[in-house]
Amino acid sequence: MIETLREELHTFESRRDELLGTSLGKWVLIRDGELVGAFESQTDAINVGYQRFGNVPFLVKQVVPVEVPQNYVSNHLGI
Amino acid sequence: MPSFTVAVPNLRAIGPIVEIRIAVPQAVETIFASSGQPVPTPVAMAAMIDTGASGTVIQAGVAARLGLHPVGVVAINTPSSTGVLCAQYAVRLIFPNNVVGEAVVIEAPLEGQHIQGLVGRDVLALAVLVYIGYTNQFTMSF
Repeated sequence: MIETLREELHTFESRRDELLGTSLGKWVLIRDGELVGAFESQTDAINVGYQRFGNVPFLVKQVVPVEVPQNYVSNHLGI
Repeated sequence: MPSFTVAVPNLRAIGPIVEIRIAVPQAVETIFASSGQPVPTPVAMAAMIDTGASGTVIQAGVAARLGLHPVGVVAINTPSSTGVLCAQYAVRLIFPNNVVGEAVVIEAPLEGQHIQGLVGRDVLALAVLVYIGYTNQFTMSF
């Protein structure tokens, strides 16, 4: 399903340096290649996404210099 | 303080597994209701409380059953792979005793497992987990 957000991910990556300067630590909301805004929390950004666009795909991502992956130490996941 | 206690026949062998339900978040429920669409029925699943999991996981396909779309993408590391991108979904988690919370979870395959979800440290960060091995039960309080 990440293919659904490929355009949004591209927008995030292409504007990452700019965002690191203006919105470090904040959560940005991106939809259809448009940067909608930066928010203090992930929940705030998601709620604005639903209110503005409805139940559709959109990208909420935190602006950090280095993204730390989530870790899963057991073999439960088939990945 | 909302809480639930689960007794398992053999906690050491089976692990801390709890029957939960995954539902659409409040914001999506409002969207469905305001457009006159039926709100999807929550999906029941067996989930393991996993202190080795950074985040909460739901079985691949559950989000589609709930009519949900991704709201994020995150990289994950597992024992066999690194930096795998997974879609994130906003959901409501319904635990026993109607203990309810919302979380942003990843969707991933859990084929061949006796569980369909993991409750990770994102949820545990908000909770007290009491694991009583010699009585084969555990309690979560929020």
